[in-house]
Amino acid sequence: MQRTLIRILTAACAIAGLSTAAAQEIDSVVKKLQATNTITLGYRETLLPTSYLDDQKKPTGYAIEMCMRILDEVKAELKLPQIKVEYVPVNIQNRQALVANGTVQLECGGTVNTFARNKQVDFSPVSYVAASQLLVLKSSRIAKFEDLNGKVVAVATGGSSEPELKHIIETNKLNVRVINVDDHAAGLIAVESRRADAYFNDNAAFFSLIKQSKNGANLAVVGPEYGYSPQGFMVPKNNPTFLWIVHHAMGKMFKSGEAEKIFDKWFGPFGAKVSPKLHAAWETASYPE
Amino acid sequence: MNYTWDWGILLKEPYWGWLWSGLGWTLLISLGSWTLALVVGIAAGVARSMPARFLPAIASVYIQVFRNVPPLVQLFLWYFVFPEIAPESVGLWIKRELPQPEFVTAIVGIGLFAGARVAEQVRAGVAAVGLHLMPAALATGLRPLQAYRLIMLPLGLRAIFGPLTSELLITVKMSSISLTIGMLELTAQSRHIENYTFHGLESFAVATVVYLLVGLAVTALMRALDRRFGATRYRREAAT
Repeated sequence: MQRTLIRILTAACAIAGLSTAAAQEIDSVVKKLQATNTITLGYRETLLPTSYLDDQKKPTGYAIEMCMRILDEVKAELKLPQIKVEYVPVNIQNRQALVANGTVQLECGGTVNTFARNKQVDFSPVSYVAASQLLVLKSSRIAKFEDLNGKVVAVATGGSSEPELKHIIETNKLNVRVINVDDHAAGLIAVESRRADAYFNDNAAFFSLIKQSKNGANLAVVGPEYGYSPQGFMVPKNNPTFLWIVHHAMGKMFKSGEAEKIFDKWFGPFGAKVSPKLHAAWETASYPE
Repeated sequence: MNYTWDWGILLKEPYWGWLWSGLGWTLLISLGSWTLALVVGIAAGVARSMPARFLPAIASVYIQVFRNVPPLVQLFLWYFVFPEIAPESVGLWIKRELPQPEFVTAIVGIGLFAGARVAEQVRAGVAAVGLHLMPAALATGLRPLQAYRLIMLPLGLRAIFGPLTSELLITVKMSSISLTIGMLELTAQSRHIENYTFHGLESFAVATVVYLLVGLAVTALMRALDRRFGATRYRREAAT
């Protein structure tokens, strides 16, 4: 019995190895668009105001609107009469894999562009620049990283904030108990139920959390803005044509000021403005025609 | 699909260490919750087979509730709800002062679920070796509890070695649900590695094989125990 099992496992591994070797096709997104007029967009379900489901359960938000503009450009560039959009919900854990294997062809969320991620996927120009801060209860009187000594801090497993927190703890020689939470909602619950004193994450996620919370007025975002986390939209590798259209479309939006208008529309209600770092990133990507 | 296989990454630090620490937590959670399940399960199983009224009623309420509510829901109830409905000082103590709150909660949650299942096996075992032994045991002058301890339980537990092995295997695999409350056990660490390296297929493949190996080891161990103490031994001796 056990020998058969081993044989089956070996066979399965061999098949998995073969299928990846065979599927290194160039421009698969454009080819699929030309053949079927469809594209699959990834969206986040609760990342307010970047990418979330509205009251009608339709994906909406800052990133979705940006992606729609990109699709307009795709339509013009490839001379397609129309594009059918298929939406696929993604989360922090699976977004990377879904883009890498081509299930999602444009991830309209907020994924931090890192060199490590660039090994498996490509990125659009910077859509948003996040920095890490602390979400705390106002009553906790935590104002800076040094105040975390002797406290419990929640951090999302797998995000870029986890190594950052480790670094802060080490450089400031803090005695902190770290608990891992699965998503932003669990981080909020941890802070509100006082299981943790602070939730360390990039501040882009805090807008929606404070809005979701029943006692949003009791929450505060504190601490210096830590790090530079430029976010973008992920695109599967080996898609030079599609990636060029994405870069071109966003560059045009940056130059025309349309990007800032979209930003103000979605982030304005939360009191956020285009930050100097985001402005700089946009200017860098505004290449001449 | 653009996927480049890289098995070597799992041997690099810190990922290699993460896998080991994950395996360690998986084993600790499994052992802890299995111990709790055995203690609670045997107690509830015995209570349920007793002729009295009150104890079997309590035991069957426990068994029905804990067997029928999904284990993930139970874990969430213990982790998120229980500390909130407990008196505030107790709740805060559980959330903040208790060493390793997630670990303890995982053991309690998984252990009590498995305990309800073990209890039913124990009851079946005791019934299988024959409740009719009870009057005989009592006739020799044993008190009821002594009869259970010396006759019914040793014989009953021997009869259910096979099903108990399955329960233990289920407990090992169920330890993975503790990742939802922040335990970085084997499955969580595989996902963790995927998040940093984007080589999830490799890490999950390794986790799968490790679960399989742990399962096979548990089965072998239980078989050895069964040969040494279990019903098989008695059956064999009866045959020769």
